[in-house]
Amino acid sequence: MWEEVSAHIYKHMKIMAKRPGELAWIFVYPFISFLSVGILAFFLISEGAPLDSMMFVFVGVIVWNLYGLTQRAVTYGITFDIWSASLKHSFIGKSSIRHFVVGNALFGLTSSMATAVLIGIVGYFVFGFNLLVAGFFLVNLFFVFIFATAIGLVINGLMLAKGDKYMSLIWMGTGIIMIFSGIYYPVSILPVPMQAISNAIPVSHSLASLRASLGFGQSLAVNSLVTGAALSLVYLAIGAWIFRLGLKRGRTSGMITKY
Amino acid sequence: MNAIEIEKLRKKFEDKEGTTWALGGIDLKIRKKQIYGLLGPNGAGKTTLTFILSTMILPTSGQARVLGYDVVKRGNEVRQRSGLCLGGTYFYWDLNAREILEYFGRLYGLNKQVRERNKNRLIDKLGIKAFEKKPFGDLSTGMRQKIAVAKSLLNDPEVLFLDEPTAGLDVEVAMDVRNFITDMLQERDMTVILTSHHLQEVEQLCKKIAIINKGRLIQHGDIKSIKTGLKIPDIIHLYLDRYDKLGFLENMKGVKSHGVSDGLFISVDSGLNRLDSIVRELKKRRIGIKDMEIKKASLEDVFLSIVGRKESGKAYGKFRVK
Repeated sequence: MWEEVSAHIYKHMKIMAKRPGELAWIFVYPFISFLSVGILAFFLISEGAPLDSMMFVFVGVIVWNLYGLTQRAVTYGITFDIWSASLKHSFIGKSSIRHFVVGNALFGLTSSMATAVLIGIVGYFVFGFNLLVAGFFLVNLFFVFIFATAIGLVINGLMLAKGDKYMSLIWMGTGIIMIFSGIYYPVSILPVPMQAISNAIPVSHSLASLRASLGFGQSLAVNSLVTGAALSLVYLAIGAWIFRLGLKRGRTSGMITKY
Repeated sequence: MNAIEIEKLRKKFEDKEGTTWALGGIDLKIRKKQIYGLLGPNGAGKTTLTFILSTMILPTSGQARVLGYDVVKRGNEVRQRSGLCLGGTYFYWDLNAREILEYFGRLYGLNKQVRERNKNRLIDKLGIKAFEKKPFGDLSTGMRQKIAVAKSLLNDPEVLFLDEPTAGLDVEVAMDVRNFITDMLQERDMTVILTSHHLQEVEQLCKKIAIINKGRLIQHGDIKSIKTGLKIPDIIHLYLDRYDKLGFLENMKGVKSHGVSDGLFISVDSGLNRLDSIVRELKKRRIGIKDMEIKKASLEDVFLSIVGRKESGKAYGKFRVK
């Protein structure tokens, strides 16, 4: 099992090593977004915004990068294959969907954890922000990772079934999540119809739980953790099903042989 | 046990334009330990059949088994024991040969020791060492194809599907690949299913073939028996010092047709049996023979005959069958 899983991690690592631009996704862009948001928060505080608004947005940025990097890693498991026209060789030997998911998600988790550590260090020394204070509620990050994997699998399933025309969902998906999950603001300020969508997204609850554990809305921490966890697991099951269905469709229609 | 067993295999593709039946019901059995040729014109269904047998695509109906395993229900077992090499293959542009083989070796579930051993052996035997560190994107077609062949053999497959493995390769590289395939078959127990448009290559490598056209199996079996069964004529090609008084050929026994175009071409039932009488008749008429050759029916003639085109005219340019 490990050999097949490690194949996907190996592929990501090798491509990353050959393309410095790929490293920027892990070590540069998240750092830039964190720094710019931090400076923005500094400015807003200097203009009278409450002190914990900085903590509020920092939690959002960390979760946002964790989500984005994981979803990217999972979807790039297929996207690299499409770009290099080698998708038809990807499911060979004993290698199965399980190996694909675990391998690509593990890479996503590793790279997003690396980013989180970098941001955490910068946040602590530059802005005095310490995410570790969340303690047990850091487990919310795991469920963000699960949800990101799930969405990655949905996008992959669509690409396997219908080809590269769904590739734009990789970037659109993260944008949609950003708006509805309350990355930079509480979802309570969104119009009611949008809040309904937000409530269906696990990241909204994971964020609320993390923020509550850091003193922003105490009463929501455990409830939101449980809701976020349950939803993310449901999405994972749906994502896995769509991926499996997409692969079967791709094999039936011959789409998989086109790349 | 046969290597391949196919029963009533059908495959349709549906798109906006409608439904296309790529395979219309194929029945075929292929025994183990041979190189078996799959022939057919473009769009015949050969590659679709190869893709189904290698589990890459799913059939619409019917059954196919590779080494006794159903390609749909036991796809994993089939993939573990088979390899697939396609012509014009692409891999990750930034990775080099060693890295590509390492990746696929892991996908095959091979442990480190087996991976290293197989990689080194294939890199050595296929002459990949000279460019093993170059990125795939910088390699020539021939170099890339060698990596594709190596990848298909990493797991020591019992059945190897080669779909146009020498397509686009220059003569030397194509010969290397063919020699490698024949050497490999001598070294290990393997069944090779070879799809190719190079009929000379198929005739060189295969004893048995199947000819597919428009999704149907038209002919299959031993190449020699197929040739004999089809009674494809031999061609006697003569350069003469003059080309008049050849009317005797009209009624001569065993002569099917004749024509003049860059020499005299005579289509006969058996070149060796008829040559004597033709030479005798030419001598009687004082027609000198400058040069001659007998062309036996080739696989190309078989192929053209079966897919419904006149073999002689096609083979000899301006020469028209009478």
